[in-house]
This record gives sequence, structure tokens and C-alpha cells, in this order.
Amino acid sequence: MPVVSSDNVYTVVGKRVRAGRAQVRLTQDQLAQRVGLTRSSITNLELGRQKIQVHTLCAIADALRLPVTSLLPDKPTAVSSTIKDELRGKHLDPAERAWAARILNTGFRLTLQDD
Amino acid sequence: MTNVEVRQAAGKVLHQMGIVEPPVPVERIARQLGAQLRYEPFEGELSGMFFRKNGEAIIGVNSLHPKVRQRFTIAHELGHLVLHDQDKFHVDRSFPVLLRDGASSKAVDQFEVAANGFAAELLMPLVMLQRDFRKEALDFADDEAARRLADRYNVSLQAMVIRLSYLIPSPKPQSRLA
Repeated sequence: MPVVSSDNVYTVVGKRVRAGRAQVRLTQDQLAQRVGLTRSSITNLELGRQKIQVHTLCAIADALRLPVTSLLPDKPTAVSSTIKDELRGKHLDPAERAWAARILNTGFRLTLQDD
Repeated sequence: MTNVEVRQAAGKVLHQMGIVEPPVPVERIARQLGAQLRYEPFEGELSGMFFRKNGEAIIGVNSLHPKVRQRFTIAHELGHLVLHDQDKFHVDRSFPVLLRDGASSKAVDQFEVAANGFAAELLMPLVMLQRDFRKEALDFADDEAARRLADRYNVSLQAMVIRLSYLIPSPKPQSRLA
């Protein structure tokens, strides 16, 4: 099983909040006001430096008009978890292997690395 | 799978998409067949890859290769998509385009030969080429004609020359359409 490090989780959540905020054209200030945080908290949260609380995440999802799950990291997809299996046993050098993994990964928005 | 069947498979795709003129829009065909195209640079001979799982098909293309080669790569990978049900994953380095007679007994090589034949027919359909030849009274062996046709079909000169070599009436029986 892939180990999901907490750093990764908060980085992904932060990026998604940032992307979601851009979509509804809210400034950090405006979002902060709607969810009762300071602007600097939003900044830190978007950078993954602040560990967001569940009720705050729900409020943010509401403000961004997104389902809260869309702000959470994807479970490593079936495809991404099979990449290594698929690539194993092929006669690829490391550079070729890395290229193939990039191709397979690019379709998955912010998929966590599983290693 | 015979050469004729491979050619028919490519012809069927062109027919379905209503493509009657070169250059064949291979990227549009890929999308319409449900394959995702993804481009990533690679310094080296690696041309492309094909991946299929749970009904999802992904074609990877080396974006550093010339456009004409990328088109051939996509057409080749579409060959795997259309012809080879079970094929799940593989990476293509340089295509063994010169492997004309399928002499190798390895199944994997036969797959590659078939995918190349499919790509050649998709990008340089026999009926279109024959029409061009009739219209312009071209000489099959003429380099200048090959150059012009390569441009018209948006393929490499090498691919066109190889293609034309199959069309030249040959006394040797091994000169089959691959």
C-alpha cells in the first residue's frame, strides 16, 4: 500500500483550494471573510503549511461551491498503482521507465506519488 | 492477420470518419477512437507507447521527434488499439519499418509488423495514392514524386519511399504490401 505522507495531503488540499478559488474568482481576502479565517491563514493553507481542520474544509468547499471530496487527494488510481507493475519486467532503461510513467501520470490531476 | 485484413481495418476507420483526402488527421482519429493522446519529451529513439486498461486507452508520443514521425507513431499505436485486443502495454522504440516480410517468428514482431502496416495504410491509403498516381502520371521510383507525396500526406520521406516501394510492380514475390 502506498504511504500517503501528511505533507502531500496538505499540499494537494492547498493546491485544490487555490484552484477552486481561482475558478469562482475569489481573492484570498474574500474567501477568508466567508469562512471566518484571516487572509494569511488562507495563504498558509494554500501552500500546505497549515493543517486545515475538517469544519474549515467544509466551509471552504461550500464557499467554493465544490463537493468537499473534490478538495481531498485522489486515492491513487488503479492506473497509477499499476504503473510500476506494468513497467516492471519490461526491458526499459530508467529514463524510458520515467518517461512512460510521466505519460501515464499526466492525465491524473495532482495524483499523489505512491513512493 | 493477413496484410489485406490489416489494410481493410485501416480503410474501415478512414471510411467511418469520412476521410477521403490526405493529409489524414491522425490526432482527430485517435480522439474519435477514444484514445487519449499525451506528449512528453524524450531524448532518444523511443517513439511512443500504448497502454490500455479497463477500457481506457492512452497513446504516449515523444514530443521531441519530428511532427511527421509523431504522426506515424500515433498511427502505429492506433494499429495496436484497433488490431490487438489483448495488447495492454508496450513502449515502441524505432519502428522496424524495414521488416517487410514478417520473417520473424516472434509474435511480438508480428504485432509490430501489423501495426506498421496499419499505420502505412492509415496515413498513405492505397486508394488515395493510386488516385494521385493516375492523376499526375507519376513515376513510382521518382525521388521528386516521393518528396511531393510525402509533403502532401504529411509523412516522412522515408515512410513514403518505403510505402512506394511496395507499390512498384516487382518481379520478386516477397515485395508484398506490409
